[in-house]
Amino acid sequence: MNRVAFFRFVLCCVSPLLFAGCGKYDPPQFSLNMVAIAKQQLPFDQQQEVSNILDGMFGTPDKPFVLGQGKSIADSETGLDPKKLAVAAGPVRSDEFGRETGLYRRHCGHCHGTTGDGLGPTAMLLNPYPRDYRPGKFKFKATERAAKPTRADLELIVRHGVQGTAMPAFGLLPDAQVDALVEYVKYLSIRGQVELRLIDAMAELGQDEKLQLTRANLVDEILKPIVESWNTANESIIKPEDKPDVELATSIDKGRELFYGTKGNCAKCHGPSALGDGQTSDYDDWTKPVTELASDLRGEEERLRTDTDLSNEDRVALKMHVALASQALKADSLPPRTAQPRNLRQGIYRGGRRPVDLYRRIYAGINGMPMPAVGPASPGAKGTMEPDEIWSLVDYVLSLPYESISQPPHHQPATLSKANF
Amino acid sequence: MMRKLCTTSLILGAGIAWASGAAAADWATLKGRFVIDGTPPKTAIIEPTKDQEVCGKHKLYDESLVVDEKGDIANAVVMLKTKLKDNEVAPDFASSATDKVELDNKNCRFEPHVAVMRTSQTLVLKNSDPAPVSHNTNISPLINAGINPVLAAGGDPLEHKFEKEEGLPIKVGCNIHPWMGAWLVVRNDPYAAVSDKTGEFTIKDLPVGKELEFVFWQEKAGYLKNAAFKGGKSDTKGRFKIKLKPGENDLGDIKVSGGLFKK
Repeated sequence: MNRVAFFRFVLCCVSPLLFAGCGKYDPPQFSLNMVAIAKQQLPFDQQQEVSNILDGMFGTPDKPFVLGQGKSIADSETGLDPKKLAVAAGPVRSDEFGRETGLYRRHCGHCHGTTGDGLGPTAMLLNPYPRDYRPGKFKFKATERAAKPTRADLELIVRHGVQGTAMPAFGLLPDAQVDALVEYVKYLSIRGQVELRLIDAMAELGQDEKLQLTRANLVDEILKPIVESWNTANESIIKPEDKPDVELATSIDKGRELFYGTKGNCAKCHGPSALGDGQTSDYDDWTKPVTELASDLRGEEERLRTDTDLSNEDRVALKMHVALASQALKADSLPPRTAQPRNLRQGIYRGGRRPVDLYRRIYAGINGMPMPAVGPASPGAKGTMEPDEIWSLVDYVLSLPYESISQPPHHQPATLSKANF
Repeated sequence: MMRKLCTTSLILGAGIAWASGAAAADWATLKGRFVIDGTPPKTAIIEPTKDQEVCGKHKLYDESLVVDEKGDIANAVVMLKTKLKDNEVAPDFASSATDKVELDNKNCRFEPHVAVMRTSQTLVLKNSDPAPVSHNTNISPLINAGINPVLAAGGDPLEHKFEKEEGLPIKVGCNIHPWMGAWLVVRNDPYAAVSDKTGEFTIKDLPVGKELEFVFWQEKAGYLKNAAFKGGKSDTKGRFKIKLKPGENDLGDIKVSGGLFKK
């Protein structure tokens, strides 16, 4: 082989490597909510249909789309701003002026996942797991229990992070970027909630019925109420009555009584010493679908093993569901963890440490969590506790980290002297 | 004059009586009895893990499937799927349109286990258990907004309304007492029923002559598919269609395959 031929040979071998990475990449796709699909036992054609409808209504991670893009934002079906979404979506890039796009993938996606399902690559290393936006439930916000967070609530979380969790503070991001990210989180959440509603709607169809792909069904019936709940969040802000002018020690005493009493009942879950060790076997609303599916699966596997009366048809159906459910649990969920009532002696408050933050947590409970509300079931109705009682409970809870038993053990001065060595 | 008035009122009265008599005959009643086809599974006893001093005194058992020794299935739900126009609903229901439907926390369980309400009605949450047993009622609907209020022992009942109809019964739980569970049926129309201890259900005052679609559901099995009854069988989604005749329409024994409950 002469030298030229050798170089040609080398060039032939190396050239594919040189150009690899410069060509097209596989754009990331939104993934389906397989746990919900397996729970409802949707057949493959219905899964495909859910996926198609979502693509049509929301576009892809690289090219998000929202209905009514030509209209003004206020008039559009989603109330979402396509310009902001375009900044947050897509691959991480910046142009010659330093304008960045792909903010979600840069800052959020590795934990919260491309789909906003809380299943990003780092998710399983974190405790607590990152939030899954798809059920449309958010925990730390100023609004009534089941209401959506306001824009300000989400901005606060992005800017300050969530204390006691892996969610960092993005306080250094410019306002416009925070704004774009909040818009994108809303987009993913609306998309995820529409998906869940579609899955339920498919499951509720009769044997030979098909989902009518009409505007009335998809937009008016499914999308609009979800968008409406976001648009009216500001009307659901909990505005507590002013804190009564009571001496702090008196208020703390009253709060302690309520904490252990039948009205507050806090000790049942937060534990007799408020260490968060009272009720630790419960799951939150994001985990329940996973544990329920896992329990269905165990039952079905047991039945396949033991039930000798199964007809062939039933056996095939069961096997198919076992395959679907085990794949969903393996690929689309994290090992379930129980909901942990907060240890109130540490002074770490995920939803904010201001008295008003704690007031809202106690008044409305925490959405999606076992934590119940001592306020009314519906806004404006009568609740279990009066505002002054809730304020006392706030005072008591805020006093707990300062009690002597909450303090770490005092540093023991070294008793070792050189003589001991 | 007096006599004339009397006669008029007599005729009028007779007229009204005739009209209402005719109306009653124009409506149909649907009834049936859910029976398990196969051996009923054993019912698990629940050992309370909280408030044992009170809850330990009550006999608590797993209520996800309640079957008596004859195989009668309690707490199975029958709902009308067909959407009716206002004038197809019996006018008698107007008087109960804004009634209150109670869901009590009593003896460390929910009473009733399956509550049925209309979107026009108000749900009343109660706690009849003695101190120190406080409850919370965690209702997680699919369509409506969820609630989870604390119900203090000796506290006043709380009220709530659900604005929208739910396609399936929704789950109710108490986070303090994890064994407690119940279901809530929220419908726009008044045509839903739950089977009683003997497996029997009755839905009254249904429209006659129109093809109606119903669905059978039970919490452990989900849709009660392929359940055979007098003159028919539910499909793979637990549904069946029927045209009702005036008066009683009895489906007889509705045989539900025991396999559906093996979970």
